[in-house]
This record gives sequence, C-alpha cells and structure tokens, in this order.
Amino acid sequence: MENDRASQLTGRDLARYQRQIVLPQLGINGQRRLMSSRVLVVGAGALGSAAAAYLAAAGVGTLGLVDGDTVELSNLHRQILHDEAHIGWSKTQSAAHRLNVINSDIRIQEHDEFLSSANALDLFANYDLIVNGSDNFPARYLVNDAAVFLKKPVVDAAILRFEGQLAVFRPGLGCYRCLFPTPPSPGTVPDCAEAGIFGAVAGVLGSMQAVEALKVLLNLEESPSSAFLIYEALASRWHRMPFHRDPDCLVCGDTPRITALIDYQQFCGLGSDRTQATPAAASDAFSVTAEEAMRMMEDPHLTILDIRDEAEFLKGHLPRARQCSMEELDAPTFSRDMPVLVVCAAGVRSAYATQYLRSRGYEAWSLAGGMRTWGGAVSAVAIQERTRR
Amino acid sequence: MITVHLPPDLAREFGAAPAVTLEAAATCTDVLISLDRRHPGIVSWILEPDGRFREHLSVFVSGRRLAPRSQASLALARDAEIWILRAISGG
Ligand SMILES: [Zn+2]
Repeated sequence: MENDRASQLTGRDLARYQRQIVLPQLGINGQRRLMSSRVLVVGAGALGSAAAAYLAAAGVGTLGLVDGDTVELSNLHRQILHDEAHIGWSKTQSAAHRLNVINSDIRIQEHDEFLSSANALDLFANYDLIVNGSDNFPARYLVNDAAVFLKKPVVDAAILRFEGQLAVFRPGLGCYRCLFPTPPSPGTVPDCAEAGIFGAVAGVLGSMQAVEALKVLLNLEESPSSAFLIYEALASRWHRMPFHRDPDCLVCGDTPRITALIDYQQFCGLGSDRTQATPAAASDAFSVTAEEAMRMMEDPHLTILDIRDEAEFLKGHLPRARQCSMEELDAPTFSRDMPVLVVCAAGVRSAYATQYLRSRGYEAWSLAGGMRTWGGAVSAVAIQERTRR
Repeated sequence: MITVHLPPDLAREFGAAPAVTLEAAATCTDVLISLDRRHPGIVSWILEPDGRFREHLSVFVSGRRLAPRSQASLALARDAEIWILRAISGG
C-alpha cells in the first residue's frame, strides 16, 4: 500500500513493536499490515481519545481524526488525549499533538471539522476502517450510512453514565440501523452533558474499540457473526447479544430504500420541535417553572445565565441571557444584589450551578426542565393569551 | 421465572430495578402486563398501543433478536430472558 515504510521494518520498528510482533497471531506480517492501514476516528472525545491512543501506540500507519470541537475544562475528566495546556485548542490539534508524542513514526491526519453529509463520503473513502466515537445520534446514523455505502467496517461504541455499548459492523453482516432502525425521540435518552458519564467507562469502551479495530485489520476475529456488547460498570458485567443483518433494513437490507446521505438532524427530530422531551428529574427547592421564570423576567434587573456550552447557546436562548461557563461562576461578574435565573438544556446542570451560587450568597433560581420545556411552555402561554383576547 | 432487563433510565424513572424478575407466563405480552402492574405506566414506553415493540428499541428474547416493531405476543420459555435495549449516544 502507499506507506512504503511498511514494506521493510526498521530496527527501530522491531524494537518499538517487539512485544506485539512476538504474538504468533501478529508477527512481522501483521505489523506490516498495521503500518499500511488507515483508520479514521470520528470524534476526538472520550472514546476517540482512548481508542486513538492505542491505535497510535500499536503502529497503525495513518490515523485520521475528525472533530470540529475545541477542548474545554469539562472534557478533561474523560478525554485523556487532552490536557490543561490545550484548553481552547481544536480537539484534532490537541489529540494529534499528544498522539505524535506517543508515536512519531505514524502519520496523523487532522480533519478539524464536524462530520456532515457534505464531507463524510470523501473523508471515509480515504480510510480502511472507521472508529465511531461521535457524541450524538445524527452523527451516529450518518457514520453508519456513509460506511454502508462505501462498504467500510465500523467499530462503534457509545457511553452514558455507567453504561457502554459496542458493536463491530462489517459490510454485509448488519449495521447500526439493523439494531436501531430509528433514534429515540429527542430528549428521551439524555446526553452525557445532562446525565453524566463515569470517565473511566469511556476508557474501557474506547480501549475495546481499539482491540476490535486491530482485530479487523489483522483478520483475527474468531467468529464472523455480529454481536452487540453491553457493559454495565456498576454490576461489573458484559453481555453479548448476537444479531444478524436485517433483510428489511433501510440501508443494508435486501431492497434498501436509503441510498444516499440524508439530513440527519431532521431524521433524528432535532431540526424542528424539541418540546416533547421528558424533563430531567431536577427536584430542587430552588427551581422555577417556565411560567414562574416568565414572571421573573419582567424584572429588568434579573441576571439570566445560560450555562450550556457556546454551540448549544447559539442554537437558541432566552432573551437577555448571557452564556456563562461553569468555571466563570468562581469569579462572577454579575451583582450579588440582584436575582439570578440559571438555565441549561434540561435543568440538571442549572440545578448544580444554582446550588453553588446559593452557597456563595446569590439569590439564584434554576429553570426546571431547562430550554427543552421552555419552548413548549412559552407556546402554551401564547395560546392562552391569544384565546383570552 | 422470567427476567426483563430494562433500559437503565426507564427503570430509574419508574423506580424499577434494571433487571426485574417476574413469574413465568405464556407470552411476552403477559410478562409485560405483570411488569406494568408492578410499575404502572412503564409498558407505555415499551409498546405501541397496537402491542408492537416501539421502533427505537432493540429487543432480544432468550438470545434471539426480534425483528424491529415485532408484536410482543410471542410465546416464551419458562426461564426466558428478555432484553429491552435502547441506543445511547455519548462519546
Ligand atoms: Zn442495516
């Protein structure tokens, strides 16, 4: 293949990789194969960090990273490629920097952009295998469909709280849509920002993705059948669920009905109405309903803090709200004499921030259910007002 | 006895254990009815009104994956294990 270094291992290669070359399943030929392989890691987050670190260390010749995000302090408890010195860097740059320190003999390709229907096929075409560490449903369905169309294997994993899921999707043997034909309704499955993630769980799943990816590249799989693996960290248990290609699957079935990339935001119900979300159980003494918040907002002195990240904020926020990171709460620039309304996506993060501000003497209130319930409540009030007239 | 493994967030929402053990029954629907008796309302999150599993769920019964949107009325072995899985998206 294109990496000529792979054809002849140097003494340095033999020294670096000797502990895996001695494995009879690998040998010199296996190492050569890894060095001529190209793997794309989608998402340089928690899963991507762990997976990419092992793939780089093992000597995968070309490692691509695609992510349009930047490093934040709240990433560091689980995204082990990034560190304090790289806060504010693009994630691909930060990850590439660290991977290069781990192994300077491999090639790292930075794709500092979010995966989209516009770039996915071109990106995937340059790689042999995709490791999926994306953090949202639209990206997961996009990765799946693009990989099915280009017949690329995907090592997929997802994490939430103390739970992990992993599957290897090989061309012709079933895909993500065979398991989950449709995504859950928006808001019914929380994301890590709202529900939390036990950092080391990402390490377990990301490392497992590296194991499975290396097995695919080296043809080391013992059974060609597909399986969905579930990790329950609290019970210290793995479960293995065999599955098969679904002949009725919309993308990999016998008569596929989706044959080109689609609008995945819309497919996942995120393009339009998000109000059917179930509010998170933020049973907090200092939370207010949307109606109460609207009354509070009549006070022009009210400070409204939106503690979601910038990308979430820019998608829509309350009038007069200012985006404020959790770190900024340590050195607040707003007055202690005025009430504060704290807002996030579902009311979980804002409940914590409210407790913290209260401990520092602020009259803080959290919007229960967050922005997800706000939209529905506001339109309900608007309808009431209209019918009253 | 039959074990039903529930999605963790659904179990928490209804105060159920992540794995619920129930009396053996002839069909999966019967088991879900007794689950709903124990945790009222929970089955409306699992089944459509027409008795099919909701499409976003992946259901495994005794190690066999049901086709998407299968009817829940299938017959069960006395010691069946039912896994009701939903996708998660964190990365
Ligand atoms: Zn499929």
